Amino acid sequence: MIKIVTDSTADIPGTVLAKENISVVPLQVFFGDECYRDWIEITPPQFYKKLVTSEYHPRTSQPSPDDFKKIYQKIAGPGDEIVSIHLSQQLSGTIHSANAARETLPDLKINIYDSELVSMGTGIMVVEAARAAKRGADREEIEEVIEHYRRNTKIYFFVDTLKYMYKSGRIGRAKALFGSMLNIKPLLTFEQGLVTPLEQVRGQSRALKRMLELINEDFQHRKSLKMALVNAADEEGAIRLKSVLEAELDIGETFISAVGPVIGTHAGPGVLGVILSPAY
Amino acid sequence: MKGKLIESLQGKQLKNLFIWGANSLFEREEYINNLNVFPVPDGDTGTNMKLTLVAALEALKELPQDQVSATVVVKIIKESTLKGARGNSGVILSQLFRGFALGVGDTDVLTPADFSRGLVAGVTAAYRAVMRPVEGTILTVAREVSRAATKSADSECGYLDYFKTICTAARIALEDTPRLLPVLREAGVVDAGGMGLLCLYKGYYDYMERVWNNLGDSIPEDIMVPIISSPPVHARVVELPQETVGGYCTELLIKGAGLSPETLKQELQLFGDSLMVVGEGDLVKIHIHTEQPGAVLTACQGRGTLHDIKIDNMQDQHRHRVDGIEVSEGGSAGEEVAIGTLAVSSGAGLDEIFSSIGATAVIPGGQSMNTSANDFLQAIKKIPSRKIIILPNNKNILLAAQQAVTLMPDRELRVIPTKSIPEGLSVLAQVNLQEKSLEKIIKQAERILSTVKSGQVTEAVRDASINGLDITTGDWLGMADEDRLVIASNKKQALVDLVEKMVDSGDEIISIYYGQQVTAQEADQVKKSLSGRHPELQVELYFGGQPLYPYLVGVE
Repeated sequence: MIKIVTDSTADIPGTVLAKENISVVPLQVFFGDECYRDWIEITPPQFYKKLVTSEYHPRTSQPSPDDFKKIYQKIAGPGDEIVSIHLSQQLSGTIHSANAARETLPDLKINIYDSELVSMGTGIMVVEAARAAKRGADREEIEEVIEHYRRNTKIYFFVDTLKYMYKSGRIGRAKALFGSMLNIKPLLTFEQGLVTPLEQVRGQSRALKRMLELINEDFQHRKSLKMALVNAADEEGAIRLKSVLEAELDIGETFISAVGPVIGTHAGPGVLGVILSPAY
Repeated sequence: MKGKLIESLQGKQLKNLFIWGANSLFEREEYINNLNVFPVPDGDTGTNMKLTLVAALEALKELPQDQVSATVVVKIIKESTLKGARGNSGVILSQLFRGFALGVGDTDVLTPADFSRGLVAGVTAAYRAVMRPVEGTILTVAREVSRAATKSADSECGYLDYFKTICTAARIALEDTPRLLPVLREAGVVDAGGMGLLCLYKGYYDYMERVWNNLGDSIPEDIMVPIISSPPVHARVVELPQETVGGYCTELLIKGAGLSPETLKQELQLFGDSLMVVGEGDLVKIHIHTEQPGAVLTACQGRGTLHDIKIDNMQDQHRHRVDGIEVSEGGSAGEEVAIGTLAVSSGAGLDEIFSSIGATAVIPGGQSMNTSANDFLQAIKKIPSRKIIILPNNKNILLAAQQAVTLMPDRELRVIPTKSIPEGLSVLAQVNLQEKSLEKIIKQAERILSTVKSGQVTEAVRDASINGLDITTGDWLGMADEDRLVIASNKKQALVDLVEKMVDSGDEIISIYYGQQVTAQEADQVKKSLSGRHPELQVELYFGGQPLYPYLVGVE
């Protein structure tokens, strides 16, 4: 049987993880010397509260090879194969730790994949891979599922300020954007695993409006979409956005989740994202 | 010998004819400026035409005194006025000269028939240069003159009568401008640009009369006096944003006794950023982005033994990635990726905002001082990008910007027709300059432009009547896009009333840029009052520092 592993930055809600039998290796967030395991020891609401009150700016760190090794050893029974899917290696060295762990476990069949995405972009891919595994798909078919979502998933998001991305260096091609004056909200996406600017819009509500326009242009004729709505700590906002988008697009399934502490460290407290892909 | 019939002009005479024409216009500069439709300090037609001609006079000064062909003189006037063109009337004037040069072709002397061909070709060129030609302007006057001149050139009466015919035709056409253009009629003036043209032709006539009266065909010294140099305009080129990815990503382990992460952190943070010190006691891991990996290692060595040292040049990693993208998208290696932007701005605050939102260069210009085509050319030369977006930010500077583009075919230049500073700021703030195709940026800009309304507040400089409203000198006027006009007794009220007229449902942001004459305190009160009146909108206040206009406002 194929077992699915991901890391905490996929931001998959706990209920979905349990239902789809997905194992998660957590990254870590540090406030000063206090260390928290992403999603486990610090929830998104706790994190965003701390983000604005703590005297420290948080830092993040990837899981150690040993963290991976423990999970891989725990879940793999005789004859099992592991598919381990992770956030873009342009943003984190997590995948290197997974590779290092695999080197120490020559007896296990471990396949490691770079999603080239983050948050629920990786999340949708992982959930669909887990569902394929459940219905008995072999590794090749699961690889096709992964490739489908890697190719077709689009992440649209904007942040309150680029400050957090600058601080952490995770700014990708967006780094030439100027967001300091005139209340400019950058609309961003991911391309080839890097944060890439789409447009810049003045004002929060206009940014949201423009994001919806762009989404409509890209997806209005696509059928039965997988959608994920992620934001910092505003589930009500996500639910409102869900009803708007479900009215405009042919949505097959919607996930609502928070942007977890590790991704939140780099995106900041005002992040809002819409993730879409046609189903495999 | 009085009454000499002049049937052709040599180069030297043509040069003198032009100087007399230019001086005739210079003498009436203020008069032409006052033929302004709106009683506000904006681009002055007389001054713009004068400065356009000054460019030619300076170039003609370089000409050797001895024999030159008419073609050479015509060519110098053409080239220098194309570059020196300032304001819409200056650009149209330069196009009249450009067409003139095409029309007369290569010739040593000019007959009235040659001259007429030049005038006709000039009209064709000028009409083409304007996107939507309007009758009742300098264009109408130029066209009527060219028609009369063509007829007159056939009768062999010499240049004196020829220019008399031209002046008469110009005056009749000019007097007809208020009938053709309602804004002139209402303001009770004739077209200023047309008046400038009449002044030029009157100077030509005066010169011919002087020759006719045998006063000599040279130029007396005193007539050269009014020639002044055009004011220098300096582009301020903004430092291009530096690559922030640089230095070395350095990682290592230190083994030693009683290692303190806090102490290490304090010590190492001086060497770079993204510092992480993890662990405690006898094993600590260090991660830092630094320009001096050697110094980091040395500092760490004092604490214990070093292990697992890893140093990566981040510039290499980055470059590699950028190259990959270029190749994958079909760009050739070494091609300039960055798109430069050039914005016309007036005021320290506005300059700074333009720079902060991505302007590569800012050149001064605006209501009180229209930027010339040459100012654009000089600024463009300083920008190290092949592709450049130009934001003229004033409707009377747009044509000069477009003219500059045609004079520089070796670069990819595009003018976004921003008619005001608030429009320019909104466009620059929101276009994606990472986009590689200029056409895509133009498309974005067009969409953004359709979402911005802009207005301005200034003091009336004379009595006038516009849209049936009586304006007295000293009144405060608020004007937005087409015909939204308010009059108030103070500048704050003018702004508040103007914004009231500008805001429609669906608008979200009001941006106020306050000028030199306004204190921060006054501006803040205005902001409060606008926020109170428009609670559903976000009111943003910025120091613009522009002269003459206490408030510029954008609503989007």
